[in-house]
Parts: sequence; C-alpha cells; structure tokens
Amino acid sequence: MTASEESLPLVRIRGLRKNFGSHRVLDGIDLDVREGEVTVLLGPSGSGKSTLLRCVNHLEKPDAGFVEVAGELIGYRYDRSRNHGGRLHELPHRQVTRQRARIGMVFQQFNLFGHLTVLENIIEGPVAAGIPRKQAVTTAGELLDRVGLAGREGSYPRQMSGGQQQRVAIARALALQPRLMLFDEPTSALDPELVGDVLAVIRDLAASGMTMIVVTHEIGFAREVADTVVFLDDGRIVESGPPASLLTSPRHQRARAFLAAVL
Amino acid sequence: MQAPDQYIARPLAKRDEDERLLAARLVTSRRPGQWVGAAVLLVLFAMLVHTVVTNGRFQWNVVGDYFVSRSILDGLVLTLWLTAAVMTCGFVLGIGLAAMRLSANPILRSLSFGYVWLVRSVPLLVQLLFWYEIASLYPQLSLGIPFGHEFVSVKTAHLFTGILAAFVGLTVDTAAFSAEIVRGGIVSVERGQSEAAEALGLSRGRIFRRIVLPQAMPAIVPSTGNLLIGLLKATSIVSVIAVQDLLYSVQLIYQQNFLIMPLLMVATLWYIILTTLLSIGQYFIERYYARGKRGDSDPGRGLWQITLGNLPVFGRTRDDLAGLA
Repeated sequence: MTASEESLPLVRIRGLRKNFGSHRVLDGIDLDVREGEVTVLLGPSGSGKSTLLRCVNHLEKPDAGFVEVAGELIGYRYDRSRNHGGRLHELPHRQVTRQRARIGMVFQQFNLFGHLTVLENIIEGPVAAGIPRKQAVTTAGELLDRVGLAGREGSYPRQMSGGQQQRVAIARALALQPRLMLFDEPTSALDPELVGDVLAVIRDLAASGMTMIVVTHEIGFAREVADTVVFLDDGRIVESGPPASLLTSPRHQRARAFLAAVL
Repeated sequence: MQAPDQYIARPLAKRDEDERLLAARLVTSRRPGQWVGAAVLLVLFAMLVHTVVTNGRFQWNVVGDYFVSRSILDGLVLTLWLTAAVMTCGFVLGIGLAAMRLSANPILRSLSFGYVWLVRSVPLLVQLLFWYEIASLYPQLSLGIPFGHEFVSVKTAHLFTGILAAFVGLTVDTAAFSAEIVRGGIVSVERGQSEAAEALGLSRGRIFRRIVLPQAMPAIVPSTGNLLIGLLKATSIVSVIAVQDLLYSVQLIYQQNFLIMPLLMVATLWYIILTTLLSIGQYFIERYYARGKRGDSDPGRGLWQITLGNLPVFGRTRDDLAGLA
C-alpha cells in the first residue's frame, strides 16, 4: 500500500455490475468521488443512475465489483487467505447497518415515517445508534433550523408541503453526521415552485464541504454545484468530467442527444 | 392604469341570467325515498319492541332473576378471560408467523405457510375435539433426546383437561387468522418506508417494531376487531368439551328447569353487551392509529356525531354536523 487513506478518494467504485433478472442494469461501473466533492449522475431513465446510488449504501447488492467508502468495503469482508484472488464474504446484517448509518440518503418520494412527528423522524436514527435522546433532540432542532424549518418538531409529515417534507428528510439524513450524502432525484416529486427551497438546502450543504452523489434532472443545478458530472447510458459511464465542459460541449453522442432533449 | 386588485384578463362572456343565478339560494336535494324507508323501519322496529315486551313467553322476570346470578357470572368470567388469554397469545403468535412468512429465510417462510394452511383447513370444532381427545392418539408426552433417552414424561389425559384443550385449540386457530391479518397490514405499508429505515442504519427488528408494524396497524385493527368479536362468540363452542363458559352455564340451568328461551336471552344479552364494549374500544384504537393522517385543526368527529351521521333517518348531512360542531 503506497497511498495513505487521506489521499484516497472517499468513495471508490470498481467493476460494479448488477442484474435485475436477465436485464443488466449496471455493466461495469468505475467511479471515484473525492472528499468534499459533489458528483452529479445524469442520464436517461433506465440508465442505472438510481441503482448505482443504491449500491453505494447496499440497498442493492451488486452482482460483481465492489464499493468502498472511506477505505471500507461496503457489504462485504475480503478474505485474502485463499487462492484465485480470495473471497468476498457477505457481512452480517448488523455490520451493514453500522456502515449505512454513516451514509445519509434522501429519496425521491421523501419516505418520511408518516406515523412519527418531524422530531421523531429525525431522532430515530441517532437514538437507534445509541446517542442519548436529549442530545439527539438538540441536534434535531439545529438541523431543522439549518433547513429553514425551525420550530416544526411537532408537525406530522402529512401536514407539510412536499418541499418541506424533503427538507425534513435531508435533516433526518444529516442527523447521523454522515461523511457522504446520497440524493436520489430529490426534487423530481415536487411541484415546480417548491424545487428552489430544496435545491437551496442542498447547495448550502455542498458549500459546507459535504461529499455528495446526486441523481438529478436539474441541469442548471448540476452546472452550478457539481464538481464532476457523470453521464450514464445503458448501465455504463459514457462520459464524465467538470460540468463546464461536459454540459456545454459533450463529446459522446449519447450525452449530446440527452442534453439536447432536456435543455 | 390597472387597479392592483383587479385581474388582468380578457372580458368574460356575459348572459342575462348570470345575476339571478348568483343570487339564487342553494337547495340540497330532497330524498323522499329515505323518509319512506325510515317510516317503514320505525314501524317494524316498534312492532319488534312491542312483541318482545308483550310476549309473556320471553319471561323477562326469569331473565332478570338469572341475569347476574352466581353461576352465570362465573361462566361470564371464564368466557372473558379465555377470550383475553387466547387473543393475546394468538395475536402475538400471529405477529411472529407473519414476520416469518415475510422473512428472507425460506425455511421460516415455508413453516409459516404450512402452519396457516393446515390450521385454516381444519374446522375449529374438530380442532377442539382433537386436542380434547389427544390422549387417545398420544397417551404419553415425553421430553428427551429424539429417538433416544426420555427425561420426563406425563400422561396426556392428565395434561389436556377441557380448559387447556379449549385454550390450545382456540389459540392455534386465532394465531393462523391473526397471521394473515398482520401480513395483509404489513404488505400495505410502502416499500419506501423500510428502505428509508434501512438507509438510516436501523436493525431489522427495529424497522419491524418501530416503522412497519405501527403503520400496518390502521389496516390491521378493523379486521382484528372483527376477529376478536368472532372469538368472543366462538368461545361458546367450548361447551362441547364441557368447559363452563357463559353458554354452558346457561345450558346447565335450563337442562334442569326447562326455561330455555329466557336463559338463552340471558346469554344473548351478555354477548351483546360485551360486543358493544369491544366495538367502542375498537373505535378508539382506530382513532389512535389514525394520528398523523389528518391535520391538527381537525380533531375528528366524536362517536356520537358519527352515530348521528350514519343515521340517515335524521336527514342530516355531514356538512350539517360540521356546522353543529
């Protein structure tokens, strides 16, 4: 080992493959995400963006390849003692759980717990992880302030607009102080006038130095916030690079066609 | 210059009638059929009350004499605690069976499936008789090494008294039906809920307990209320294996004095009272699990208002009631 952990990217994805039945959704993905960087995944629907994101916190089990976050294999333990390159053993569920707690995720449909108040939604993860309730409640208050919803602890999700719910979902994901945040089309289920508030929160988060992988169709947002834009098509990365060049003069024909269609 | 509170729009098409239409009073539709129906029902109800009161053969004085008599109350108590014990154990087992059925483990899945299939296939009465007579099948029950040494053994006939047979039979049955109710409720919870919980790093048990099960409850409670009321009455079946529940106590009395009808009325009235209490309890439990589903500004209509609202006889609409509240 020549490089120390600091110089390694926070997320390393190598040779990732995933099939749903006979359909190959991910066909050999290689990707690095450096600490503090924002990576935006673009591509037509069905190109594998969401599946790639869901492999990062092991909501989907890859069929081949690996995901490494902060130098730790996600979902597997490597046993090098054997011949033929060793084996990857599935981790016990409890350890996967521990790994997930350090990766925040925000969903398209918010997926707030409808029977719990905003406060209970936010402290559920920390309390389960063993953080004292009082401390979790204080942190929740600060997080709500940060997403512009101070004082809404007692509300139920159904009493809030979609944009407010999504901001609560972001606060909930942040409550475990993750090193990495995953956003799966966070504004796609929102009415157009509510998109701005959510993007503003994500923008602030990016500015604070959070490492993020974002699946989105908001090209303008990608141009403004992304350090790297990755274009997927048919389960492969066909082009990646800084937004300035990729979004204005894409070299790959598929990327050109996609951008021409959405812009 | 446009006034600030005016729309910027094309002029609207006008008709002469518009002013009169705007001034007209809204009249909700009359439903003469409802009034006729209500009148017919009232007459039939009056006839029913009349015959029940005036038909001397109901012997209401006998009903009154026995209603809170010692042996009836003993039977009532047995019915109550048998129902409570069976429901509690059966439902807990049912939750476990539902969790097994939905687990990733194929062995647990098949076990749960097989249990539910077998138990639902056998009539309850047959199950009760089976447990009551199990001594004829297995005279001894032993604890020991399979095919090997036995440590303790007990005579089955001593173990399976009527009451234990009743408890086991009813619990086994209730567990199977609860399992299906719970499974239906769990399946009704969106997949995204457990995914979000997984992403937060919650353990499987915690996801089931804290996230999925509470949200399955609104779908579980009504069917469970149904099951519980069914069970309360189904306990009367244990009279066939000589367990002295409410019905059997009544039977013991009328076999001696032949006052069959009044004594059956005693049991019926008690079952009606218990079922009513359970229904009221169910209403409040349903209201509890509906939290987070409506705005704080709407505290929900009360039981009385709902009763009124469901009685079309009074010709009141929901809006009228909302206005009254």
